[in-house]
Amino acid sequence: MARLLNRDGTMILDDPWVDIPVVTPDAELPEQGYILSLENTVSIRELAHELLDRARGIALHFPAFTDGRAYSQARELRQRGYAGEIRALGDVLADQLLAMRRCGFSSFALVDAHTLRTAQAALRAFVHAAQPAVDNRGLQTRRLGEPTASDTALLL
Amino acid sequence: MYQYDALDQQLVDSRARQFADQTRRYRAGELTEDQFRPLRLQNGLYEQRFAPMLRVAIPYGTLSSVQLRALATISERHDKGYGHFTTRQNIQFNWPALDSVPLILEELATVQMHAIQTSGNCIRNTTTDVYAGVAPDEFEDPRPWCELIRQWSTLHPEFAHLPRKFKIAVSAAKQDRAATYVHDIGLQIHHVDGATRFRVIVGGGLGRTPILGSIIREALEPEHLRSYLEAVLRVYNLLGRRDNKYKARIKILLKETGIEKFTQLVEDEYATLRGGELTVSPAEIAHVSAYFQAPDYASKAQPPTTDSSPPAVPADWLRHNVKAHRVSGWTSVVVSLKPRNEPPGDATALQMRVVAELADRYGFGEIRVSHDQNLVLPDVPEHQLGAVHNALQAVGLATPNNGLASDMICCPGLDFCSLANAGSIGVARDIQALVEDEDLEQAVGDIRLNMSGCMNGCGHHSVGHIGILGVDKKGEEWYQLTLGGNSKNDPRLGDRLGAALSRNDVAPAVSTLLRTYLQLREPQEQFLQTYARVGLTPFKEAVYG
Repeated sequence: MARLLNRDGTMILDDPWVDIPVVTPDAELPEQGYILSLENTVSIRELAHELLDRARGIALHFPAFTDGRAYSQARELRQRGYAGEIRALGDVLADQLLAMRRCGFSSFALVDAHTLRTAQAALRAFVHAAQPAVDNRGLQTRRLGEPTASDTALLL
Repeated sequence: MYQYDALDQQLVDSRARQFADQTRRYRAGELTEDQFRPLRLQNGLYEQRFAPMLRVAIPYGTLSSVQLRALATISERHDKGYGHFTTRQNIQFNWPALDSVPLILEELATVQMHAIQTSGNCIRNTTTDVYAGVAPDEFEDPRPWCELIRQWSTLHPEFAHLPRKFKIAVSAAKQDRAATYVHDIGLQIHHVDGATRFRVIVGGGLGRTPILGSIIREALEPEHLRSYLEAVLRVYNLLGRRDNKYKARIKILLKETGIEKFTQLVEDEYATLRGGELTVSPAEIAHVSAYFQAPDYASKAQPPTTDSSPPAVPADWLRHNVKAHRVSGWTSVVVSLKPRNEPPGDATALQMRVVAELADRYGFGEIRVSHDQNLVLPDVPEHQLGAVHNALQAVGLATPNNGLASDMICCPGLDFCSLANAGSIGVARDIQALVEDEDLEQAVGDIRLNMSGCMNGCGHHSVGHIGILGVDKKGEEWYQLTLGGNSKNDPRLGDRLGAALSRNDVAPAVSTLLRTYLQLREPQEQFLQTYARVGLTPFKEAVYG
């Protein structure tokens, strides 16, 4: 069983998703809320607003760590204003966690073989970024002077 | 040229440390071979036929003399004392030990260099016109835009695991010297009523399915460049094929989707990004442009005060290797890396140091790497050409063959590359020897001969006026010739001449093609013009009888 990590690399001890039904977009939607599981071929832009509004979390998938479609899906979800938890499932390796977080993922199901320590170090591998993403929208102005405090938000 | 700020430096330092740790974890068995491969590739490290190969990024082909000297030192300390310059304006070291790579990255970081994204399925080094900033036919300097693209694409979190590699080239002159029609994205800067606009060409590429790109935007406003690029990349990342690596480039997506629908997908995505945080502000482009201000030419242009006349400039070198400059009294000099009997694009540590020294002494400490695998000194005063020639000649860098038949673009081929089907360096050598011995070279004049050792097309054979492709037939090396390719204005893919030739027949066939051209050409007619007029048949008959 993969270990669950928060966006800062700490362990999730009580998984809030544990009792919530997991559904795919075409399924009947439970009244009490659901976790929306999206294959990496699903077009985020074509999903109904209502479907996202009622989701208590969204699971995106990496069938192989080299298949990067879910990075773009996460960004599109954040761009559409989805503010809930986005979790990375599948072939989730330590060395990809930082990029996932920068694209809007907020929790990770890390593969067994990679240790917590390695994952936490990988999330701290860079303090700055060269381009804006989900976690550092103000960065584009960095070229004009020293970074502001909010620009360095990559280091949690 | 651009200078790193504290953030750039920190990023490259962090990357070097990160890769050292990844290499350690791989050695310790914490990362599998499959997990380590993309990590090492995105740091430019390949496993080659005899040893690893490290490809170092030279952003848009611009080097400082300090950087070139550092490359020379690295080649001596960690390799066999030479490097190989590539068509994508990078440099490759063919013999480093795996364990010395983190050390090399550390040394590179001290001179603002790295190997980030020089390989792997990510956005590669952005390339441009080798004469950027000094070309007389330029609309404007493309380098500030290249630098903005470099920054945007460096460790972009969304695009590190694309379906396949992704290459961007930028041209900003009347003549396209950046091969924009054979890149995943080609950007042509042009002016509309005095305002900067980008023509966006998508889906070109060489390799086993060579295709010319299609224009999907004629006049993109520059402030939206990054938003538009991000939209194209996102569409590609989401929809590009991942089931077959030979059908994974954006050119196949464009072809299978159709240009209209593809353009619509990009425009829809762009609509969600336009005006957002990727927008380039006037202050930002002004800030980056300030790094590329023209140097103080007046300060170095004074003729020497000595009475002795300057050394003579050989006429053939002047004709072929000295290029017009936008500032009167100045020239750009092509340093030929295509001497006879040497692998095309190779330079020794000594040669690199001499070029660096000349850049400091006569220019402004800047060197360019050209798409056709030569070096260029962008700024040389006319009255110093003789001195520069003599210094270059002393180390074998003054071959007067720029743009001629022996100035071949050539991949490393079977001698180094694990992908190659056939040798290319040896064939290039045979061709060079034959065209020189037969005095064909000067008679023929400008012509582009490109050679690749396999269908991946690193030697750009599809866009050579004469292209040569190495193929494997039942364990033997054979060579397929093409005619009429061109990567510049009016781009065109070459036409297949006929059945593949055996290795020994290649150089004589090229010689026959050149002689046929000389017989058929009208006065002043270039090879491509003659070919367009007479077609394939006379050439085919001459070679195959």
